[in-house]
Amino acid sequence: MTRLALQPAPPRLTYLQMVLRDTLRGVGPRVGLAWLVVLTFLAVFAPFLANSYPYAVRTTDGSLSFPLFRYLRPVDVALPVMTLLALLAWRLFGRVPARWRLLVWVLASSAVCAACFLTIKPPLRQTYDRYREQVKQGEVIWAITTPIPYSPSDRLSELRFLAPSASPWRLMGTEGNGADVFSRMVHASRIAMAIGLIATSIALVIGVIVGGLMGYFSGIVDLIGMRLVEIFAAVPTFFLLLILVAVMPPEWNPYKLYVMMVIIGITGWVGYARFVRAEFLRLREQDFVTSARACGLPLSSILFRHMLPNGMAPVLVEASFGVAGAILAESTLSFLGLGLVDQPSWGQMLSESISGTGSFKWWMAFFPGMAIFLTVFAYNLVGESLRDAIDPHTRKVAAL
Amino acid sequence: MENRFGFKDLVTLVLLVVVIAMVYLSMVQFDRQWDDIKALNNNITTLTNNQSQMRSQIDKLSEKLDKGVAIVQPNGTHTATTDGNPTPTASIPNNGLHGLYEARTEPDFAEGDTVVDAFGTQIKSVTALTYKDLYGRRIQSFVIESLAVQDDDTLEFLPLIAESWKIDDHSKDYDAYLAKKKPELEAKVDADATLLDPIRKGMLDELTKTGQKPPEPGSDDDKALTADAREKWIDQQVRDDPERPSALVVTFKLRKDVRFSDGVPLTAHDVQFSWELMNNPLLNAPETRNFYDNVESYKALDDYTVEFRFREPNFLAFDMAAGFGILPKHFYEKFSIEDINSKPGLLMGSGRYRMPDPESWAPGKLMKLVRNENYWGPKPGPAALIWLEIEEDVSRMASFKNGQIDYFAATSEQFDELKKDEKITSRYTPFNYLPVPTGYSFVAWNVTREGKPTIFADKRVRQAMTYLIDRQRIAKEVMLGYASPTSGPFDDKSRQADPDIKPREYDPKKALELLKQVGWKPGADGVLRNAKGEPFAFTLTYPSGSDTYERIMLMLKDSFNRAGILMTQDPQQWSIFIERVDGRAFDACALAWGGGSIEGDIRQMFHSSQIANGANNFTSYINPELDKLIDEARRTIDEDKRMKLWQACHRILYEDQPYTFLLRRQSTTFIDKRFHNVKRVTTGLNDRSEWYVPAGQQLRGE
Amino acid sequence: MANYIIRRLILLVPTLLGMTFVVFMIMALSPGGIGGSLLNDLGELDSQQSRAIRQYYENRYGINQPVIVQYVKWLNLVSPVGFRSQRDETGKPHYTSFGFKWPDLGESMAKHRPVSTMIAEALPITLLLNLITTPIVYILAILMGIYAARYRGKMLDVGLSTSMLALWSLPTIMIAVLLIGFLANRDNLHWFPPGGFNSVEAHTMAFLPHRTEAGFERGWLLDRGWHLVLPVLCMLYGSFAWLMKLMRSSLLENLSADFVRTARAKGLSDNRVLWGHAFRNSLLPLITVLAGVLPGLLAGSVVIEKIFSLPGMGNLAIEAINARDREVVLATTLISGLLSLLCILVADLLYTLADPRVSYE
Repeated sequence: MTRLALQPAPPRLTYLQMVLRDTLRGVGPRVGLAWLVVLTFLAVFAPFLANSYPYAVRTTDGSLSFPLFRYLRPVDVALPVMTLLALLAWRLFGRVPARWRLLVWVLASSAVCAACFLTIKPPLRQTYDRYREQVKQGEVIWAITTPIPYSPSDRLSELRFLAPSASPWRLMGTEGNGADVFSRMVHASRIAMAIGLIATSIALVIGVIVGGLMGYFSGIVDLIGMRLVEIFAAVPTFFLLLILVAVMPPEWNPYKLYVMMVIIGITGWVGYARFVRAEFLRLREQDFVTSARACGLPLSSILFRHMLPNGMAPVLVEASFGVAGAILAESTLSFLGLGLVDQPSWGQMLSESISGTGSFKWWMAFFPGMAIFLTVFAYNLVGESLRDAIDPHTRKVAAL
Repeated sequence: MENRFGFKDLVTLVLLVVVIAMVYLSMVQFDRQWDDIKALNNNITTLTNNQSQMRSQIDKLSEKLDKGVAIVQPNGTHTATTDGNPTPTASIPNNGLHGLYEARTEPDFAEGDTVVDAFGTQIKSVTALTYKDLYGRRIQSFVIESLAVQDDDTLEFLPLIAESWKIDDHSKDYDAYLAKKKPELEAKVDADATLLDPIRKGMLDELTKTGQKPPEPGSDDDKALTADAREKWIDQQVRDDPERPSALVVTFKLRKDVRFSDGVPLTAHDVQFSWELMNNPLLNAPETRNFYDNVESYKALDDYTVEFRFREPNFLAFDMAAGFGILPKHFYEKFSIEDINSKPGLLMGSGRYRMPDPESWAPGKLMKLVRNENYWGPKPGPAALIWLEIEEDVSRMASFKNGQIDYFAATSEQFDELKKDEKITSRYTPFNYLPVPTGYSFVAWNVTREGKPTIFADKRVRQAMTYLIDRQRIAKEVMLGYASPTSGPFDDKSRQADPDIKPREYDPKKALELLKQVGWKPGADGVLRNAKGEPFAFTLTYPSGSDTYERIMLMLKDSFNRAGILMTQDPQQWSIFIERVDGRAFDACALAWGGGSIEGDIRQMFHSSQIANGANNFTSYINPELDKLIDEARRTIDEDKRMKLWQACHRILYEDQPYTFLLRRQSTTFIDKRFHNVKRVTTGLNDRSEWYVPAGQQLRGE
Repeated sequence: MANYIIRRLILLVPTLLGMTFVVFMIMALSPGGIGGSLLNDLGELDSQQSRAIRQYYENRYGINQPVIVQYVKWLNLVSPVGFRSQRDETGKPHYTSFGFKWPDLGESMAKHRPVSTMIAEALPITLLLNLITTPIVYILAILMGIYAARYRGKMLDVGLSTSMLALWSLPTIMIAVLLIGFLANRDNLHWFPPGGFNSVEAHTMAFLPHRTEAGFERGWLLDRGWHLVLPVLCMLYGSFAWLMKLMRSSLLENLSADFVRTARAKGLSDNRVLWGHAFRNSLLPLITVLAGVLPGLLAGSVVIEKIFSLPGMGNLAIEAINARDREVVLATTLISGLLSLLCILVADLLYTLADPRVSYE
C-alpha cells in the first residue's frame, strides 16, 4: 500500500482494481483475455453465428419467415440476455456499489431464465434441409443466413470428411458424419466454457470450506482433513475422474453435462483446500485475527468476514489455472469417448482425426486442438500474471 | 558443508544409473534367451518321447516280423509311405481330412512357410474349455479335434477321430413315455400345490435379485409365475426320473491310429475325460456346461467305443457329441482345476498344430502354433501359424502394408481403400464373401413395457418402421457395400430361409399410410401424433463404443425425423445395456446376433416361453402359431421336414417384424498370393492348414 | 529420522484404506454393480447361461454379499496379516487359520488371472516410461532454467518464459494426435511407429543393432527405443516447461539473496557464484516437486498409453474400469496411490539431504 501513496495524484483504486491493472499490464495476459472475450462471445451467441436455419427467408409465394428464431431453445435466448444485462450492470451503473449491481443482475437473470424456460417451446422436429430444399426448388427470393450456415448436428452423410474449403462454404471442413466442423467448434465452446467455469466454482466452494475449517480449527480436524486431502491427492485425479464418469448411472445421461461439472468439481477441490488451509494457518497467527477474537466476535464472522477475504486472493489465482485444468479434463474425457452424447466437443473431434484406415484428417486435429490449447493457454496467462500482480515479491519481476 | 552435493557426486550418480540400466538390459536379454531355450527344451522332450515310442513300435514290429506276419493293404484307406504321407495315387478317403489329402495331391505342393494373421485384441486365454472369447476358440480349432467335423462345403458330418457312428433314435419311446408320465405328474402337482413352493421361492428370489418387484399374491403376474413353476416342476420330475428312456443314443467307434501331439494314443477314455472335465462344477466354464445340458451321459464302453445318451429329442443333439473337442487325459490330469481356471496357456490336443510349449503361454507373448510333426493324418503345408495382436485398426493396417501380415481381416473402410491400391492387389488377393453362419444386426421393437402395450404393439407400426429404414443406403454408405439387407434370422442362402421372401424396400409413403391406419397422423409441425395429440417419440437403446453403430443410429434418427417420428439416441455400456434388455426397460434396441451354429435355432429369441425371467425374447413378442412351429422343428430329426417348418417360421417373422432385420456383414479379407489352394467354400474360406506355398515362393521360415 | 519415517509409514495406512474404500464404494454403488459386466463377458445374451455364470461368480467372488462384507474380505486378501483361505469344490472360499500370509491382489474377474501377474506385466512398462522421462526432464529443465535466469529480463528470457507457459498449456491429446498424424502416418512423414511397444517382428530380432546381409537390422533394443520416442516426447514437454519456469525463478531468487551478494563482493567470478553458490540452493524446490511430478507422470501416462496403445498400468486401468473389473481397478488404485505417497515421502527425505537446515528429528 505504501507504493500507492508515493504516486502523484493517486486515483482512488481499490485493491481489486489495482490487481486488475497490474494483471493487464503485459501483452500476454491482454491477448489471453481478448481470446477469452472472443470465446465467451462465440459461446453466448453460438446459435446466432452457426445455424442451418436462416434469420429470415422471403419465398416466391410471398411469405416472409424467420426460421432461426422459431427454432431457438430457451437457453439460446437466456444466455445472450443475461450477458447483455451483465454488460449493462457493469458499464452503466458504475456509481452503484458492486454488491448491489451483482444482486440486481442475479435477480434479473433468474427472472429472464424462468421466463425463457416457461415461454419458449421450440418445435420438436428439426428440419434442417427444408431451407436447402427451397433453395434447390428456386423458391427463395432472398434470405439472411448466419455466417456459418450449418447447425452442429446438421449431418449430410454424403459430405463426410470434407477438407476445409471456401466453396462449398466449409471453412474448417466436415467430420465423419458430415456435420460442419466450424459450427461444431463454435457450439463446443459453450460446453467447454460452461464446464470449465462451473466445475471450478464447485471445486472452489468445496475446497474453501474444507480448507477453511482445517486451517481455522487445526488439531484433530486438521489431522482428519489432511488424511481426506491425502486420499484424494494420492489417487491420480484423472483416474478417479475416469472411474466416476464410467460408472455414472445411465439414467443421468440426459443431464450428463451437469454431472460432468460436478464430477470434475469434486475431483479438483484438493488443491484449493490445501491452499486455503495453509493461508489460514498463516493468518490465524496474525494480529487482526487475534484482535477480532479478543473483541469476542463470533466464529463465523471471524472465519468468513475477516479471514476469508484475506486468504482469497491467491486462491483465485489457483482457480484460473483450475478452469484451464477443467477444460482439459473435459476434452480428454471426450477424447476417450466418455463425454457427452450427440453434443459437439473439441476433444471428441480431435479423437476422430485419425480414422480407421489410418488416414490423417489434419483439420479435425488442428482446429479443435488449437481451440483447446488457446483456451487453456489464455487462462494460464491470465492466472500467471494475476499471481504476479498479487504476490509482492514477484511484482517487480512480472515482465510478461 | 561436508555433505555438499557436488559435481563429482553427480557423475557418480549418473554412472550408477548407467550401471543399473545395463544390468536391467542384460536381464531382459537373458529373459529373451530363456524363452527360446524353453521352447527348444520342449521340442527336445517331444522328440525324445517320439523316439522312444517309435523304438517300442519298431521292437513290436520286428517281433511280429520275426514270427512271420503277412502285411496286407486294407482296402479304402491310404497306404502308409515312409514319410507317413499318402502317395498321390491313393484314393482320397471321405473323412474330415479330405481337404488335406487333396492339397497334398497338388503338383506344386510343398511344406514350409508360415501364415501370419492379426487379431484386433489381446488373446486372454487359450486354455481348453475355459477360454472366454472367439479368439481363444479360433486357436483351439487348430489344436484340438473332435470326433467328427462338419464339411466346410457340403456341411455334412464327416468322420475324424471317430471312424464310424451309430444313431439310435428313441424319440418315439420318449414321446410315449411323456404322454403317459405327464398327466400323472400334472395330477400329482394339482393335488398338492406345496410341491411347487421351492421352485416358486427360487423364482421370486431371482426376481428380487435382478431388482424386479415380486408380483402381488393373487395377481395375474402371480398366476403366470405359478404356471411357470408348475411347468418347471414337471420338467424337473421328468428329468430326474431314472425310468425315463433316453431320446437319442449315439455310439462312436474311434480310430486306433490317433495320437496326441506328444505321441500318446487317443482313446475313448480321453473322450470321457474331456466331458467329465467340462462338467466339473469347479471349472470356470458354466456357459459351456449349460449348453451341453441335454447330454445325459457319456461313457467309454471300451478303449475305442464311446456312447452318448441324450435327454430330449433335439436336432442339434448329434452336433453336440460329434463337435466336442477331445482333450488328452494324461496332460490335463496333471493340473488342479484351479490351475486350469487361472493358467491361460494350457493347451494340447491331437490337431494339425500344437503350441510350442503346451503349458506356459501367457497373454502378451507371441501367439504361435507350430505344425504337429506327430500328426496322425496327412501333414498340413504351413509349418507354423502366427497371430499377432494389434489392437489399433491403424497400426494393424500399417503392419499389413509393411508386408508383415499374410491374412488380413480388414474393416469395410480399409478393404475399400486397399482394394484400390495396386501395390496391395499385386501381392494380395481380396476376398469378400458372406460366411456361413453370419450374424445379423437388427432393431428390436419392444411390444410390452411395464405390463402395457407400447406403440410398437401393432405389427403395422413395426412394418412401417421397417419401411422407413433405408437398409440399402446404410449398406452402401456405412458398410461401403460390404453388407446386404436381410429379411429374417436365417442365412439368406441357407435352406432354413424361404427363398421367396425379399427384404422390404425403403418406402416412406407406404410407411406413413400404415401408420395412418393405426392412427398416427402428421400434426401442424410435421410430427406424427395420435388421437390424443401425443407425438410419436421413442428412445433407441444400443451398445456404445462402435463408430459404425453410431453412424447407423444417426442415419435412423435422421430418417425417422424426416417422417415425423422423434427418436432419441441412448448409447449404453454393454453391462448396462444388458441390464436394460433383461429388465425390458427400453422402447427399441439395436443389437446384433452372432453366427452361432450353421443351422440356427430361433427359439431363444422368438418363442413366447423365453419372455419370463429375463430370457432372450426381450421384445415380449408372442405368436402362438410360431411357438408351435418352432417346437415342432426342434424336435424333428428329419432334415427336409424340418427345413419346411423353419421356412414357415421365416414367413411369420417377416410378416410380424418383431425385429427389423438390418444387415448381414460380409467378411472382407486379403490373403497373400503366395498361398495356393485358397478356396471359397460354403462356410467362407477353406481352412488355412490346407493352404500351401510352392517351394520357390516361400517367404518366411518357421 | 527413523522415528519420523516409521510415523509417516504408519500414517500411510489410513490413507490407503480410505482411498481403496472410496473406490470400492464408487464401484459398488454404480449401476450394474461390481462385476456387472462380467456376466456377459462373451457378449452372449442367453439368459440361462448368464444365470449359470452368475451363480458361478457369486460362489467364487461373493458378489452377492453386502458391499461392506466384500470390502472387508478384499482387505483380508491384500493384507499381509489375516485369515488364510481355501476354495471348496464350488469355488467358494473358506477361511481357515489366522496369521501372516502373502498379500494377494486377488483374481481378475474379467480375465480370470491373478491380478499380481497382470500388474507385474504392466507396471514395468509404465515405470520404464517414467524412468526415461524424469531424468531427461530434469536435466533439460535445469540447463534451460539457468540459461533463462542468466539473461533475465532480455527479450530472449521473456520470449522463453511465455513459450514455456504455452508449452505447458499444450494439451497432451493434441500433441499426441499431431505427432502420430504428422510423424507416424503414411500420408505424411512415416518416421515412427503409430503405436505399440515393439515391432511385430521384434521377437525374431537380435538384441543389439547390427548389420546383416539384408542390410541394417535395428535389433530388439533399438526397436523398443524407436517405439518409445513419441510417447516419451509427449510425456516430456509439459513437466519440462513447468520445471524450467520453477528453476528460473528459484535461481533468480537466490541470485538476489544476500549470500550471493557477499560472494560477489569477495570478487568471485560470475561462474563461480552461479555454480558454487546459487545453483545448489536453487535445486531445492525442484526436489520437492519431484513428489508432484512422478504421480503426475503416472496419471498422464494413462492417456498416453491409451493413445499409443502401450500395455502399461494406464491401459490396464482403463480396460478394467470399462469392464468393472473390481480387483484390477482396486489393485491399480492401490499401487498408483502407494507409489505417489512413497514419492512424497522420498521427496521429503531428499529435502533434508539437500538442505541441512531442515530436519525431522
